[in-house]
Amino acid sequence: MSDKHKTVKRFLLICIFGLIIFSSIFLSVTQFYLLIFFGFLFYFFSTPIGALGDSLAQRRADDVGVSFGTIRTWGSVGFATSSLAIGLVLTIYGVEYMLWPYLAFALIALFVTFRVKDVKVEQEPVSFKDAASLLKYKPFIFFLFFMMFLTVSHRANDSYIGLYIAQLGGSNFYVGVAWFVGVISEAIVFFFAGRWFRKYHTLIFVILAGAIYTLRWFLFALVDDYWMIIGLQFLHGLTFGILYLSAMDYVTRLIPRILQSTGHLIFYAVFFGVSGIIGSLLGGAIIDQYGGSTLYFVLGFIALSGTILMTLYHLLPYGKKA
Amino acid sequence: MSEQQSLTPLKALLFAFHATNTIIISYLPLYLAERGLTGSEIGFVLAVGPLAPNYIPTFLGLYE
Repeated sequence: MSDKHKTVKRFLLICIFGLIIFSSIFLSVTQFYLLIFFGFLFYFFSTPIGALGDSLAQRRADDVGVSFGTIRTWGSVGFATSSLAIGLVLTIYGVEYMLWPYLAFALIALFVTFRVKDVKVEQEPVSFKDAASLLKYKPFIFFLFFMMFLTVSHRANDSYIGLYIAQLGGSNFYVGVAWFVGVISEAIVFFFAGRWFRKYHTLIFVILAGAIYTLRWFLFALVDDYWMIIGLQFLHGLTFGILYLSAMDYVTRLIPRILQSTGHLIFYAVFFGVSGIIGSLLGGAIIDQYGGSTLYFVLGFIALSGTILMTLYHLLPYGKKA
Repeated sequence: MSEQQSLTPLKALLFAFHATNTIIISYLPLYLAERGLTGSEIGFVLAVGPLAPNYIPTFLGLYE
């Protein structure tokens, strides 16, 4: 691929075009197999946009001499605004009309991308050989495997918290409010976490996040009012925020510098990819058979197992590598 | 256009994209339930998301 074509903007435009076309189809079809098929195409185009946008923001921040955070924070503002505003709109009109607000924001995204200043890419591609060599590195594999107990529970909640709030009688608007509270708490943790991390070993924070996850899911299982879920959502920052930052930090120290970007890619694939697949399938089966409360009890036990395994990992020689 | 102003379209892009993303993250499960899918079927549709190869741009060297 020639350097001329390796521009982030071109790739972003392709992704947003694809997102607009396939979201329109995905959110119109009703048959299960069509939803699967067009869902895949929709995600194929929409998934890379977040990371591409972050990458662009990082480079432009460096060029202009401002911090990455001052640009990236607009993404969080977009998330927070839309979780409340769209929640309100969908409560009035019904969630079946979610394509329209979705397309409105997508068209804005497309329009402004034409005006975004591009950057050139000189980075060497990640190679499969590097990935294969990292997958033979035992401390890395053990760490990711134990971490998955926490991230599977996390991703199952991502998929089903909305349905649980609905089961408890909350309207669409309150689902939006729950996400809003979660995102705000996450932003606060991201902002302050740098100061806490210097004091203790990184794995202590992974274990701490696991313990709070365990508590969070058991509390979710016990409540019988959707307002209590919303009240407990500040724990999203203390669980996801702390786990994500500390696990990423641990992985960065664990693996050799030259394999760093490959290592982060595998980390990201396990945290969001593999865990998302297992969490969604497992969660769906449980909520179908036994309901939301049982789902959260199961998630509590999964997170508890992960916390215990992570503690053992920390005490055994493997955990001492970084 | 100053350097600072040249960042405005990028900020607007991040705002708008994350606004679309929230709608999917927060409401897609409810939307699918409204369409009459069971919990397990919703699980299958949501599991397709992480299957989509986000990793292609990485292997092309488009990320940091």
